[in-house]
Amino acid sequence: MQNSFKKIPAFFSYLLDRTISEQDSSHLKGDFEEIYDSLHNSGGALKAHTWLIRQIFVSFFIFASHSVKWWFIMFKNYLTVSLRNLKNSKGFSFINITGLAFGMACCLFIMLWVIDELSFDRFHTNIDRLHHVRLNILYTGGMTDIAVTPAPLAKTLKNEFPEVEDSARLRYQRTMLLKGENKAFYEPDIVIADASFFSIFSFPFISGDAETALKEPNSIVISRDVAYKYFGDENPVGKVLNLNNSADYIIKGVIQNVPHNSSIQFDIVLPWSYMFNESWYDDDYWDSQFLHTYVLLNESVDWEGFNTKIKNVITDRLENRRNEPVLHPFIDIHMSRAGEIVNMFSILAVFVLLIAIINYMNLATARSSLRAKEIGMRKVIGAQKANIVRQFYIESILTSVISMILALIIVYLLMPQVNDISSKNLSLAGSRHSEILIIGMFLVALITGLISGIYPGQVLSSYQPVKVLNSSLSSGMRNPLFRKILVTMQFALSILLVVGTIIVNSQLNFVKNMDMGWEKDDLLYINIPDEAFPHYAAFKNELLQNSSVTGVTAMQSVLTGFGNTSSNFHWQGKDPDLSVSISFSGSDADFIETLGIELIEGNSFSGMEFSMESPVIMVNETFKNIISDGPVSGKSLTWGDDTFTITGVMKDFQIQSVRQEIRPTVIYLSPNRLRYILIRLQPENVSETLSFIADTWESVLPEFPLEYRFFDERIERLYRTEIRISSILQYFTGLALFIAGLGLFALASFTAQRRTKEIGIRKVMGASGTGIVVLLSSEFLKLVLVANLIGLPAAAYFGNAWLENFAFRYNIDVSLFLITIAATTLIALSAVFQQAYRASRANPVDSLRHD
Amino acid sequence: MKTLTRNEEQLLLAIYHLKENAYLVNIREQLKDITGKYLDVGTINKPLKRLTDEGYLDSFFGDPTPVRGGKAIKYYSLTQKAFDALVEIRTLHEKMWTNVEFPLKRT
Repeated sequence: MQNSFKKIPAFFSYLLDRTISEQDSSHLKGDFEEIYDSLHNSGGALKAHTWLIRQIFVSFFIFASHSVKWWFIMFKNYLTVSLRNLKNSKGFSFINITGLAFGMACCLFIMLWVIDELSFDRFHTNIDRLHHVRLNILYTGGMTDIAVTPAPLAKTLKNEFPEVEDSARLRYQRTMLLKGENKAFYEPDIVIADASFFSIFSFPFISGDAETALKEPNSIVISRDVAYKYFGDENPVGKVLNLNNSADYIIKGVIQNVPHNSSIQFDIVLPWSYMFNESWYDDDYWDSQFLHTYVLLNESVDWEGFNTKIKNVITDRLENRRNEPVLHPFIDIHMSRAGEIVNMFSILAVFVLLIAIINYMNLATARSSLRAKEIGMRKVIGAQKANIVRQFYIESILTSVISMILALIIVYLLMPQVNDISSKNLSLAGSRHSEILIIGMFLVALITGLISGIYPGQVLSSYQPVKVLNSSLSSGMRNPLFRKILVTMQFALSILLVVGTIIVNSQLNFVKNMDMGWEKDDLLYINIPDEAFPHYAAFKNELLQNSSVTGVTAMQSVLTGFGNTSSNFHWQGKDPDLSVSISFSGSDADFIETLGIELIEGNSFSGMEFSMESPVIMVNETFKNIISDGPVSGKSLTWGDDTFTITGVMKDFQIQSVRQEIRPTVIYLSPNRLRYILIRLQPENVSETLSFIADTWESVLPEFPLEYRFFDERIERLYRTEIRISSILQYFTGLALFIAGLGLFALASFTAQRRTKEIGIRKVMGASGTGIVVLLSSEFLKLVLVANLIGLPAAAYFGNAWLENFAFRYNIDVSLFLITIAATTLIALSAVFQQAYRASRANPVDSLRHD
Repeated sequence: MKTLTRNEEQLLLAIYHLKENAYLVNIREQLKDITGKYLDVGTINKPLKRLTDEGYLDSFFGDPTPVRGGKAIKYYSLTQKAFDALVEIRTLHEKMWTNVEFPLKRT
């Protein structure tokens, strides 16, 4: 009988244990075993098991409702106790909640930002199949990767490769004068595109047909805002816009304004046929790169494989060139530009939150002695360790939920400022992915709560009731090492931020004040339409009559960005394998004099006249060094079919952001196709000079409005990203220091409070006030110094890595580190000093009287 | 004193019948003999517990035996209160059935 006894299988046995309430467990389980055994003997295993499952199933619901009910009762109790604790220690709660709220607000902002960045270009229906074609230009000893491609590439790819469903070319056009019925404006955001542009991209049309809008040579497509600007509420389709006082274009379509999260930005689209107005343009010329090519691949084409197929498309048609077209998924374009900043700010936001979390942990453990008795009592009354742990977690989660609510309010209030700094258009309510945001917020609150609860929960819950209730000794300074590590970590993070901010700022200043090789002050530029250019000479002569105008010249490209490059330059003794990409621009005679570029060899164009027979060109120093070691003036330089004579060599000047090295550059004397007039003014009486310029323009070119800009602004625009990083970094750093300072303040005041007796005794024994201040503050200052030791090398490492992005960078020097050490020490001191001072002034009689 | 429900009445009677052998498994068998079907363990255990709490039953543990996986048996026995209640319900039944002719007739 005993041997044949059948035990309940382990799995069911486990389930039974979970469902049977505790006081019943033993005997009831016995009953189950007995019945199971008899069923097994009489009816077999199947019957016994069916019965068992039924029993468990029936009791499960009762069990579940029971535990939920008890969980709620306990939860209510935890909540009450937590609220009571928050209320009882208002100061600490305030510091915890403020710190966490600001940290979370940072996280929320970054979350909104990331959501916004990730939404870029997703509105195109074909986004998965869209690719931008870039060009890898290989030359001896290197490779340049450029975003622009030659004109015939798009149609060649489409016609010769079945993988390509469609392709389109796009070229950003410079500012043009547009005239409507009775309004005229300069429009800066004009593009020229193939007719297929609107079928491969999905810019929604309000009126007009996307397929045919750009088919006709004289058609034009405008955005809603532009339509409103010229025609108000009338339907503009079929109306006429005049370009640069020359040709009329018929509006064939109106599109929705291009959303801010599109990486292609424009207001006005002209058909590709516009390019044929340019005398130099050749639809079949492979050796000049000046337009963007986009392709739409067929479904299920592997673009990486396709890349190897098209590798030689250009090389096959151009001798002595190795230009390889490379497809880049369109969807990655934005993140490849913005990804770095997004990553950086995400890390920063987590830093700030981490500093706030450390505050919470620190204060919670520091105050543990106050809670020790409470915990002891709870345990004596019957609380399990698990209950205490839950109590602490619920407290920290409650704190983090309150902080989250506060963070939402902060985000809501600061939204306009943040949008201003980041030049974004973020909003809480209008976010496209509010579900992600809500889940994100929930997760941030939960994770913050859990992390900040870990230490107090695990450590405080394991107090032995006998010890804490019995001893009258304070256990407040329990585990000071852990707290010291946390404070050090906090400050190390803050130091990282401080140094980062200083480095970014210094680099920005360095760049702004760097010698660019030309004088950027008091220089203004005017965008002159081709149709107005014939009047340039007259305008220039008029201006030079006035002594306040010290120089006038004109250029083909705007000075701070020669977008055009060519590798078709040849000279005597050129290595046949050498292929360099050279920036070029045409200019008027007084180019280097007006800009203040130093001439280091030969002559400038000054006084020269353009002649078709003997065109002249100047090269910069970098290019000169490629051509020859000796002087190059007087030598000839072949560009395509034309041969130029080099008149002189210019000292290198910066035309790009200093992120890039100075490129080999040529400037050639050109009588036409100049687009920007540059005017150098005397620094005095600028406003009078400006009105003189306006009057002169009015008399020479009455049919074109005048629009001028100063170069300083343009340079600011070159460094937009750096300026943005710098200002956001400043806010992060300020916040991090503030939160860390708050934490230190609270910790110091707490320590001082706990040590009143010790201080009293010290004073009675003859310690001086100063001695006590030093004693109390040195404890924290030591930590801050250690934090500096950790934070500074790390910061130097990351700072250098960031500076690597720049071809020209400032050198990190020792003073930076000294400033950081001084600043952090000062902040720590100001947080601690007041507490230490007050403690040192207290009358020992008061503090010792109680015993 | 409240009147027992039919369930409680059956349980108490089953325990009465089983005398010193009254524990859950036997009670379940006994009830099966009377009503013809097995009840779920929970359906018996729950009222047993309640009746114990209300003072109708006493309970004590037997010695653990190797059968039943070494678990002790919890025995139940009736208290005076249970006897009173059973007597009361018996009287009630009799009162209700007096002067009722059998078999019943529809009028």
